Order: sequence, then C-alpha cells, then structure tokens
Amino acid sequence: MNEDDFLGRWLADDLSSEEKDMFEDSDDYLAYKDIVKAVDRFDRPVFDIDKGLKNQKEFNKTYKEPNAPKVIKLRTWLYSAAAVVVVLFGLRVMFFDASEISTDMAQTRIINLPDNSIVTLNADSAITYDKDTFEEDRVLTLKGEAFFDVAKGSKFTVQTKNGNIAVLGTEFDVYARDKKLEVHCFEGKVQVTKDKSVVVLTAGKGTKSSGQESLLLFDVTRLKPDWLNGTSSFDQVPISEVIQELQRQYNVKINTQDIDLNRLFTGFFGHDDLKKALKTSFEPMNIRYTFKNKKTIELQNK
Amino acid sequence: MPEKEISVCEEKVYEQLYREHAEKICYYLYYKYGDMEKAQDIVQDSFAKLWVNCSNIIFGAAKSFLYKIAKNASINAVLHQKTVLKYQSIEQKTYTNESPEFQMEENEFMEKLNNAISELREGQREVFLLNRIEKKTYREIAEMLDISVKAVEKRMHLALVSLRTKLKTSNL
Repeated sequence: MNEDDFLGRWLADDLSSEEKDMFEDSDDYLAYKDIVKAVDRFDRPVFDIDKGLKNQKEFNKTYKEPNAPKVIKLRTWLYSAAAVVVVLFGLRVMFFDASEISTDMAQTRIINLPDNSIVTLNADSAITYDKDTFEEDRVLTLKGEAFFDVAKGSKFTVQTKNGNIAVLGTEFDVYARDKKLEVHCFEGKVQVTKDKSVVVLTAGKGTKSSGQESLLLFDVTRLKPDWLNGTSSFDQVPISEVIQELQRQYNVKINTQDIDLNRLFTGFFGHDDLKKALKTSFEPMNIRYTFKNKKTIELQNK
Repeated sequence: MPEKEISVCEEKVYEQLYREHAEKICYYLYYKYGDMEKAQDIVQDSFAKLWVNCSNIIFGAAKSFLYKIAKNASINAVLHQKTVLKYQSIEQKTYTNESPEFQMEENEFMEKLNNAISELREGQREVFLLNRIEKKTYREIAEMLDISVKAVEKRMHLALVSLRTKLKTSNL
C-alpha cells in the first residue's frame, strides 16, 4: 500500500490476488471501503438535455462573440510588443549610465546638467540622472533640497520620494526630506504631484505638505531661496526642523534634552557663523545651548 | 470538396453534438468546481461559440473545441470566486431497522465526507468524482483531461488517502 497508485488500482480492480488479500486483511481496508460506499450514495443534480437544447437555441440567436477576429490580431501584436519591451528593458539595464552628484554636510554645489539647466544642491542632498537619456527625457531624482534653473525645452521632471514636480523652463526650489515636501516657484510654471493630488504653481507661489496631508498653497515673497544667499529661513515650522537644518549647514551634532520639538519657529539663521546662528535660533525660544566639544551642542530649557 | 462532409452549421448535426456532449461537459465542470449553475452557464457559452464559429470548425474537431472553450472559460470564471460544493445525498430509506443513533452518525459521516470532498484539490476531485459518480473508466477520464492513465490512478489514490486523513482527524 506504499505505492502512490495503489488505491487507484484497487478501485479499478487492478490488484493482483496477493495484493488484494493483503489489503483486505489490513486495518485500512474497512475505512476505505466505508468511504467508497458512502460516496456512492451521493447524487448529482439533473441536467435536462431537451430543456438545455431549447435554451441554447434561444441563446444562440442573440449571442455575439466579442470581437473574435480582433482578438487574434491583438494577440500577435501583443507578443511582438512584449518582445520589444523585453529587449528595450534589457538594453536599458545594460546601458543605464546613472550619474549621482551629492553634497556632504555644510556644503553646497552648483551643477550644470547636460541640457544646460543649473541645479544648486543644498547641504546633504543628492541628484541622480541617466547620462544617456537625460537630454531626451529630462528626468532626475532628488534627495534633500535643491534649487533648479531649468533651461527652456521639453518637460523637466524632478522625482522625489514624496512626490513629483514637472516643469517647462523655470526657476523653482524643491525640499523633500523625511515626509515633508515643499516647492517654491520663482519663475514660470511648475506642476507638483503628490499621491493623487496635483497642484500647478505660477511664479511667486509655493506649496507644501508634511506627510499625509494634501498640498497646501502659500505665497512666496522672495526672489530666490534664502539658502542660496547663505541663510536658512523658517515660517512656523517645528523647532526639530530648524535643528536638523543647523546640523546640516554646520555639520554639528545637536542633542536635545527636554526640549519640546513641536514648538513652532519663525525666523532665520546665517550659514557663516555658528554661534550667531545658535543665538538667533534659540534665544527667542528661551533655550540655552552649550558646547560639549567643537562639534557637539547640547540644548536645555532655561 | 467531398459531397458528404458533415457541417456543424447544420441544425441536426449541432443538435447531435449538444445531446452527446453538453451533459458530460457540464458534469465535468460541476465536479471540478462544485457549482452547477456556473457549469451550465459555461456550457451554454461554449456551445454558442461553437455555433458562431460553425463554418470554421470541422465536425471531428468539435468535441475538442468544446472542451477547450469550456476549460478556458472556467478558469476565467473561477478566479473570481471559489464556490462551496454541495452534493445531494440520496433519499433516506423509508423502512429501516437501524437505530436513530446509528442514523444520526450516518448523516454526520456523510456531511463530513461532503466537506472533505469539497476540500480536495481540484485535479483530484474531478478525477475522483468522474470515476465514482459518473462511473467513467480511468482511460475515459485520462482522454478527457488529456493526462495519462497512470496520472489518473495516482490522483485516485491521493484523493482517497486525503479523504481518509480528513475524516480521521475530524473524528477526534
């Protein structure tokens, strides 16, 4: 009874007499016999052929096959399309020539893209694009913050993990860190897409979203982002963001003790004098800062 | 063109095909999926397709055309919902000298068996029921499903083993 077809042969009465005798002596025999007997008691629903045929004829009169000849054409076409896609994808993987440009802490960098657009990267940021196809599709990926002066031409797309920005020749600033996305448009027109919401910004407009909420619109009063001129400014943002920006711009470590990181801050700090920056940021918030060493600062409530 | 070529478009030929195959295909689909209504719908669809394409299909190929359409259609239909099998049990004997307790145990056993069958793998269930209820030989089933007789034997074996195991564990 160890073979995997034994019971199959038993039911077909295809066992040798020895096999049969042995099986009928075993404990399993009765159990299997019971099952088979019970299955024989099951009935099946009735299929009425005459009625079915009558219905079938009625059905055939109105039946229309959904575009039968087209299906065949489409299939052949689909196969070739699939083959082309596979080949193209393979070529793309083989020849994809990604180029990544990044900045460290306390560093900004100006990059001239192949299409003559200019990107200014803020500290601790990076852009990635495909050298071979960039001139055609003008798509790049951004981590962090950067200012774009886009040359006139076809659509220019900035992909970030928090949403995509598409433009036609313009100047704009994108901030995409953690969950937050903020776009300032300084010239021309920008389209911002986040999940399902789409916002079109004209010059002097900005939009932001921190995480789940949809994109909020606001006015931009400046002509260039402040960080290009060596300052970071904030309008009603949690103090935690200010601390992060300080860390990025000065490459320092800031330890917060009992500070409420959700308190809102409005103001700015410069990028050239750390002491001044700490003073302008924390004095008005009633926070004391002490240097543990050159690169580590500790904050405490006064 | 030979004069006596049989055309599927001829009503008599079509009717003959229906009488010969509709019921079998319907039960095959029923054993496979356990839903009589759906099985009937698929049969109707398959025969309608045969009718629409009658001029392109030679008589000898009609059977395999029908089975092929039925199999394809059933795959599409079943992906959407898996139905629970229901098998009607034969009427209880009116005169019996069996005790009520025994009868109750019997009914319970039948119900468990019913469940166990509905939990069989599709391939095992169709083979097992085609053989046990439809009384088809292994060779007929093998031809119908386009598999070897050996494969049918194995599926029968596995189906029985799996029923036995399920009934055993549910008795504990």
